[in-house]
Formats: sequence, C-alpha cells, structure tokens
Amino acid sequence: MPELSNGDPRPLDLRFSPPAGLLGFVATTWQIYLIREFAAQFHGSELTFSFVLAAWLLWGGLGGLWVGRRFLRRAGTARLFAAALLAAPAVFIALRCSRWILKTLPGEVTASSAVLGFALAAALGLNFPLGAAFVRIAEASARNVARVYFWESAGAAAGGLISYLIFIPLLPDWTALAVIQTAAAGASLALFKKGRPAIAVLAAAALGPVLMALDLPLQHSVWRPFDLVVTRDSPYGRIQITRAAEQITVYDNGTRAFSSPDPTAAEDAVHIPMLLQGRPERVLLIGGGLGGALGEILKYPVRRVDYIEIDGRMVEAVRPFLGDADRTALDDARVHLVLTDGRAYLERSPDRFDVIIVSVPEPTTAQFNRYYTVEFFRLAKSRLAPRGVFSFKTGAADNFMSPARRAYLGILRTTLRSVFEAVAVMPGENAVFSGSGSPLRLDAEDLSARLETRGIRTMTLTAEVLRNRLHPLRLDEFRRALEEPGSPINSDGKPIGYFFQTLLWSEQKNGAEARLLRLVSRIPPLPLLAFPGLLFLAALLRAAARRTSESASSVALAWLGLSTMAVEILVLVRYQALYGSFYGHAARLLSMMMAGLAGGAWIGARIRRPSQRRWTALQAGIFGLLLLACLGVSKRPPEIAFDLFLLAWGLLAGDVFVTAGRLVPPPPGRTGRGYAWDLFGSFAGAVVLSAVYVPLAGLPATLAALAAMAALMPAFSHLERKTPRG
Amino acid sequence: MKRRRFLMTAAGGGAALGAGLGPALVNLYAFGQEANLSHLEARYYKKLADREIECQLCPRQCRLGDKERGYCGVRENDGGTYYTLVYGKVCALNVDPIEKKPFFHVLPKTNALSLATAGCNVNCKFCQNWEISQARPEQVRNVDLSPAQAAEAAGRYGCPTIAYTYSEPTVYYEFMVDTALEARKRGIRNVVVSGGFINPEPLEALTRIVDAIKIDLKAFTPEFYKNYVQGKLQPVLDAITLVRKSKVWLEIVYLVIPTLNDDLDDIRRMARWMAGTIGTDVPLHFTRFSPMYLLKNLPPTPVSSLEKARDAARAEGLRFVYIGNVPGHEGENTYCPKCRTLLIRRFGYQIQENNLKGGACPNCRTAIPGLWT
Repeated sequence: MPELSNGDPRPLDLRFSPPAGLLGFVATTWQIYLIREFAAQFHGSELTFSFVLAAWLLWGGLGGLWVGRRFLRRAGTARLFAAALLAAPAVFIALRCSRWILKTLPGEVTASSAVLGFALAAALGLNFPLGAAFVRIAEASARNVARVYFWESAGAAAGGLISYLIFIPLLPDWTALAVIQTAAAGASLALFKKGRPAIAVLAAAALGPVLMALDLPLQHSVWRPFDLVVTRDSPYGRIQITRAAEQITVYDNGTRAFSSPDPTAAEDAVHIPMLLQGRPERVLLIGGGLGGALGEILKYPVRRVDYIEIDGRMVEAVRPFLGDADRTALDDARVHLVLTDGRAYLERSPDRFDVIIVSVPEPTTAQFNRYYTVEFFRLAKSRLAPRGVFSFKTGAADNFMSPARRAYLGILRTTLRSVFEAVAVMPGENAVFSGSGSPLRLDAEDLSARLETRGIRTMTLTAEVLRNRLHPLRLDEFRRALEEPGSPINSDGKPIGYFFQTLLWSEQKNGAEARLLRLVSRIPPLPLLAFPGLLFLAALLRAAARRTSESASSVALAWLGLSTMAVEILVLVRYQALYGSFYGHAARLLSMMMAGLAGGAWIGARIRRPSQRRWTALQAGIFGLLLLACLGVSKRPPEIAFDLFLLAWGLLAGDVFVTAGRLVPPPPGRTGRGYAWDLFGSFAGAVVLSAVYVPLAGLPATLAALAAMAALMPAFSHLERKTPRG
Repeated sequence: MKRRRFLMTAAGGGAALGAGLGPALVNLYAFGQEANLSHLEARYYKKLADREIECQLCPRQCRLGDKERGYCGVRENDGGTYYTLVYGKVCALNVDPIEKKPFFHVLPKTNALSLATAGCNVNCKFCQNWEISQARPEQVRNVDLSPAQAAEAAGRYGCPTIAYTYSEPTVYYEFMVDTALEARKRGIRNVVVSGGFINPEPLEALTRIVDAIKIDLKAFTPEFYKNYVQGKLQPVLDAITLVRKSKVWLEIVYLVIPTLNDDLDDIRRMARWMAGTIGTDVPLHFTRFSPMYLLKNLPPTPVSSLEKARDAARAEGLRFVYIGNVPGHEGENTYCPKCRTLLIRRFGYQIQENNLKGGACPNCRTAIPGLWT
C-alpha cells in the first residue's frame, strides 16, 4: 500500500487564472440569487435552503467527476461556460413559473419534494457545467489544481463581497442577475479565444436584458388573478403587495405576512398580554405593527410604544396602502418606530417594559427561531418591569392538534416555563403564550370584565369567544397536550423549534419527507450523531483496504468538504442567534471563509516541501479549531471572533486541499477528483446538518462529533505511513 | 497503530454504536403504531369475490382488496368483512356555541357537545381541521367514548345538542348513528356538520335520526370540486335535495374563497338552483375564508365580496342569507323577510338580542322557519 508520498518540493505556480476567478465569481453570485429566488418562490424553511445548497454541491461534484465521460469529453471550458450562461436565465424563469409547472395556486403550499426537484434541476443547469469547467481549467493549467482553487476561491470571495456591498442593497434581484449574466458572457467571450462557441455566448449575453425585462411581467402573471401592486427586493427578501377589492395583502418572501384591513388578526396577539398585565404604560412591540397590532395597543392608555421593525423597505412599501386606522396608529406620537433587529434592540435598551409582544414569523428557520429560545426569553424577562408580561403567539388548532403540533407547542411551553415563574397559554387557532414573574390568571370572566371596564371594543375576542376558548373541556385537553413530559427546551445552541415547524409544514402534504422527518425526530442524539460517524469509519476502512493513497486522499477531501460546510453552517447559526441581521452579514462572513480558502491555497502552493508531517499538522490544526469551537460555543464572543474563526478555518482548509493535491497528485484524466470529493463532502454536510443535526442534536454535540471525526484523520494518515507498500 | 488493531478498534466502535442505533430503529418502526382502533363491522358495503368489498357509504364507492382501507382511512377490509376503525374513538371533544357550526336557526344561544374522529372522504385544500380530517386514526390520540357516554357528557355539560362536526361525520357513520339514538333517549338533539358527500341510502337513514344538518356547499362548479376538494358536486346537490325533502332542518354554508369560488355568476346560479329546488327558506351562510392548510398564503375574503354574494343570493329570492366570520357585521343578524324587523342580533357567536316570539316575528307574526325550542 503506498503511503502519502512527499510531493514535488517546488512551489506551485499561482499566476492569475482569469477563468477560475470568473468561475468563482459567477458560481457564488448565482448561488446567492438562487437561494433568494427559492425563498421568494417557495416557503423559505431551513429545509428549502439546505435542499438548494445540497443540490448545488452535488451537481458541482458530479460535473467534476464526470468530466472524463464520453458525453463531456468534447466540452471545453468555453462550451461549459456557454452552457451555464444559457441555462441561467432559463433556470430563473422556470423557477418563477413554478406555479404553472406544479399546477398550484399563487401562494399555495408546495411539497418539499417539489422544492427538492426544482433545486436539483436548477443546480444541474447552473453548477454541473461549472463543476466540469473547474476541471477543464485545471487541466489547461498543467493540472495545477491549486492555482485554479486559489483563484476560484478569490473570485468567490469577490462575488460574495460585491453582492453584499453593491448588488443586494442597490439592485432588484433580476437586475443584478442581468448584470452578472452580461458581464460574465462578455468576460467569457474575451477569455476563450480558442474554440469559443461565440454565438451561444452572445446569445447568453443578450439574455441578461431579457431577464431584466421579464422580471415584473412575470411577477404580475404569477399573482394573477390578484392584482400585484408593489414588488420590491430588499436585503431581507422580496416584498410583494397584492390587492383584492378593498383589501391589500402583504407577502414577505412569498409568505403572507398580513392583510389590511383585517381587524380581527391582531387582537389575539395584543389583548391577552395587555389584559393580563393590568395597566400597561410602556409597551415594546417586535414586528406586527403594520398588521394592526399598533392600533390595538393604542386602545389602552399607554404612555409609549416602541415598535421594532427590521426591514425599513417593508414599512416604506406598505405605508401608502394602509387603512386610515393603521396609518393613524403608525403616526401616533406615542409610537416610536425603530428599524433594527428586535433582539439586538432588547440587548441594547436600558428600558423596562410593562408588556413585550413579539409578533415575528413562526420559527420555520434558524433566523426566526432565535425569538423563541430560552436565551431570548431570559433577555426579555430581564427587560420587564415588575408585573410585566412577555407574550407571543403561534399557529395552533382550535379543535384538535396533531402529535407534531403538540410536540412543537410543548417545546415552546417548556422553554417559556424554564424562564418565567408564571406561564399562561390561550388555546385557539392561535395559541397565545404569556410569561411573567407575577401570577397570571387566564379566566374568561375575568378577562371579559377587564375588557368591559376599560371600554375596549374587540371584534373577535369577545366574552363569548373567551368563554368558548377557555371552556374547561378545551382548556384541559390543551394543557394535557402541552404539558406532556419530556418536552425539550428550544435554545440558541439546540434550536429544535424549527425542526418541528418544518415537520408541521411537511405534514400538510403528508408526503415521504414528513414520514422521514417524523422518524428522524425519534432518534436519540447519540445514535443520530453516531450514524455519520459509522459511515465515515466505513469510508476510512474502505480506503485503508484499497491501499491506495488516492482513495485516502479522497476520504480526506470529502471530510474536508463536509467539515467546512458544517463549520460554515454552525457558525452562521450561532452568529445569527447572537447578533441577528443574518441576511446583512452572511455574505460578509462567507466571503471571509472564501478569502481564507484562497489564502490557504496560496500558502499550500507556495510552501517548498509539502510533507506527511505538515499534512498531519494541518489536520491537527483543524481538530484544534473544532475543539476551540466546542469550548466557545456556549460563550458570547465578540463579532470579530466569527470573522477570524472563518478566516482561520479557510486558511487551514485551503491549505489542506492544495497539500493533499501535492502529496497525492491526481493521475492523468482524474484531475477533478479531489475537487469532486470536496463537493460531495460539502453536499453531505449541507443536506443533513442545518435541517436535522443542528436542531436535534444541538450545536455543541454536533461540534463535538465533528471534533471526534477530525481526531481520526491524523490517525488515518499515521496508519498510511506505517503500512508497508503494497 | 497497527492496521489490524485499527481495524479491530474501528469495528468494535462501530458495533457499539450500532448497538445504540438498534433500539432507536425499533423505536422508529413503532412510530405512529400506538393504535387505539375499533374493529366493528361497518354498514353500507357489498361483499365481492376474492375477499374484496365495495364501500357504499359515499359516492367514492371504494373497491378494496383484503387489508386495504378506503380513501377516508378509517374503514378497512379485513378478510372480506368491512370494519370501522373509529367507532367510539373520539379525537376531538369540545363544547361550542351552536352558532359556531354555524346553525343560525337552531336553538340560538345554546351549546353543542361537538365531537369528531379522524378521517374524511374528501381533501379540501383549505380545510380548517386538516390535522384531524387528513389523519389516519393511528396518527391521532383517541379517547374511548361510547355512544351512551357521549350522550351523558352532553347532559353533564348542559348541551341540548350533540354536533357531529370538525372532520366528516360520514366516515364515522356507525358511531354517529348509535350516539344519536342514545342522545334521543335522553332528549338531546343531534346536529350534523357535513360536506354532504354521502350516498342517498345512508343519508336517508340518517335523516330519520338526527334533527338538523348543515351542508358545506363548497362551490357551484364541478371543476372546483375536482381541483380543490377531490370530490364531486352532483352528489352533494343530491344530498341537499334529499335532506330538504326530509323532516330534518337544513342550513347551507358557502365559504367564499377569493378568486376560486367568488364568481358572482356562479353564486347567482347556485342561489337560483336553491330557490328552485329546495325553496327560499333554507338559510344560506356566506362565510369569510381565513387562510388555512394548503391555501394559507391566499388572502382572507374581502368583506365586500361577501356582501356582493349576499346581495346576489337575495336577488334570487333567498330569504335568509347571512354573512359569517365577520363579527359585528349586520349580515350576521336575522331579519323578518316580510317586514325587515330585527329578530336576532348576533355578534360573532354571541346572541345580543332575540326578539322571536314563539318562532315568529313579533311585529308581523310571520313564522320564521327553524328549530327554535
């Protein structure tokens, strides 16, 4: 069995590779806009994001792996670029037209399997040719993968930064895509002098403006027969407003946020906590103000309402369409609108509130889940005045709740109960959760009397409705459902809430994915974490049995891809839990990682003598970083620590990738293998990590499992070295 | 580390982890199998050759081989005999105002003991109770409740009626019928909230036992039933006609969903059909759609659409047309069709005023149809 040979002692050539840079730039920007389009077109659950990411990596990997096959043999870099550039507009248009392809109504819930299908098709069109192009560029660089990898990472970092700083804040999504399309086609024409399929690339360039021109007409068609009156892309997603008769409905990333006028919608969220508190004067409202909550709050003699909204463009877009009552409420002198992240605001604010009402979307993603965790509840409690009440509402069912819904609501109740001495949950189509340090009395007669004495007129929350919702039969069943023993706590580190929301969502279609998620939810964390460990061990053993350094390096690179993707996701989840404003900063953090990868690749390429020892040291470095992450995961590091961590990881990972290639140079015809394995590992990391491992096993346990796997890698290299040549 | 030792260690570790995974896999298999099901022979089915059966309860007429279940998921062929799996297996039990069903002409201001089992014979994309209706009985937690216990519970909670509601009562027909008979013995009335997708023979038998039936007429086009309900319109119209011909009190609900079934021409055709076939006295409720289930991203119905629908139905001669799910709207009230005197003022489920005198208008003595006492 050959050991990992000591590679060529000469430093590698890292001259500028424009095709590789272009590839990195195009791939990253497309990926960013693909995820945004998916979020706007389909329900943006965590599962959706992981499907897109996974499909992207899978096809990229296959493109690299199959480049030698007959059907790709004649495809040069220019053709591959042309194919991707021609596919891009088709992919985005098909996605926009998904409603007709799937034969659904505007805004109808789509099965996760359909989302997966679209993700696979989209990534096939975009990243399969790019994956193959990577290998072709490397072949053209005398099989110097390091050079391509370096410039691809640099291009990706640039793409991420430009999107973060220019495209997303300044341009509508499809305008940005048109710019990318035309620029990439132009660059492609300029770069590939030999055998360029010029007509195709010219056609691709022309498709940029076509895409831009189609943006609005397609959006209008998708919503027909509703009248789409506003559409706007903001850094947080796509805001759309439709009108039907006298009523407007606001959509945030394709999901209905609220309708106006809709006087019944906000009553639950506001009146239960306000009545429970007694005499609220200072109120904090996080989200929901445009949907009528402000008007309901102002029915009480409050002194001041701090209303927090994260997306200023949403307020701007909706304000002209609000009914008189809602607009008056927004302009009331007691209302102070602050455009920021609600959790960040609470952390900074020295004020104490009588009532804190959280009215943000349900925890379908890690982004929203951070408003439903034990850490957030603790923060809210610390900002409550004496006798203050903290409250939020979430979808429930009036008559019956499925096991998944019971589990989900049970998690929220347990989490709230772990922070507040008194917890009250109002049953109904919306379950209203309230927590306080003082006793809370949820009694129909009592609440009706308070409504009556204060002269507060409500439409749905009447005495009769309160009596019905709080009937002992309904209340007992509701309590039994929520107080089942063994309900876990939803936390920043183990955001189990979004897993159950995803499960609930899948149950509506009751397809295979719902059954799979239900099954997975029953696995205890240890076997759950052990399973990939077993697979990894099997891969190691197989590589050992095959006794080739190439298979050893494949496993190492797959591991590298998996751990890099895992770290990327885990860091983003942790970062957004602590600092929020995920959308604003994700591109920056990812660019940091990409810059690290480029830097690492540079170091790995320039070093004089790559050796087995260095390889082992790099693996140990990765283990060390994971260990550091394990130790720091429950701490609150400064923001810059996240950037530095990703940079350091990128440096090591880039170095490992290049060093592996230098120690075990790919045989002719297999230039792209290492890259493909890297992407396959990333695919495995993406597909299960964010949707399953993070919520079910938690960040600390997942990191510990990764560290344990990392610890095996140097041992594996050691084994290789000691084994006699075969 | 020697290779052999490494392999041994890895294999040992793998075995240990596998041992941990084993019980979990057993656990997985058991998921959702905590069944509490009945095994009582169903009514209305035909035995066929080779242990096959044909269900004759609803127009779907499922033809099933051994061990197969009907579309509803709660009736199963076991060896050529058809069984109901949900007899006495109640998954939802509440006390609701009768106005919530909605029945506006049945014992106002009283409560109904409302119960349901899992299952439904259609699949509406806008179902409010999809967590019961689209579930199999194994997927919900069932409580054992005999017909006698149900009737006794109604009395205990001061409910003069039992409502068979939430999911589709047709699929738990046997339990509904037996409970209704038990309730009658105790002087408790029975009301059914149904989609009306049921065959004439079982429906006819049902009308001899229950007191009121509310049928959801989900639209007036076969296409809507095909695309959004997975059912058929004509059997529902037949059921409405049959109930009207019986002595059972009938009310119709039409949930107005923006853009899907709010076409005024269709609504006029429906009202004309009602007036011509079942008369102008059957109350018709146009209720406001709240985004639900698979259509949760559609907007709620604009109130003006409901008002237009009501005006159209009135113009066709219907005398009791209501607007629902808009608390405080004057369309919730009952007026005398002759002199327009306000008879019952409602605010949501609340009865704020009831001026009926012996089931008639206090002003012009016009009899108002319904079950008032």
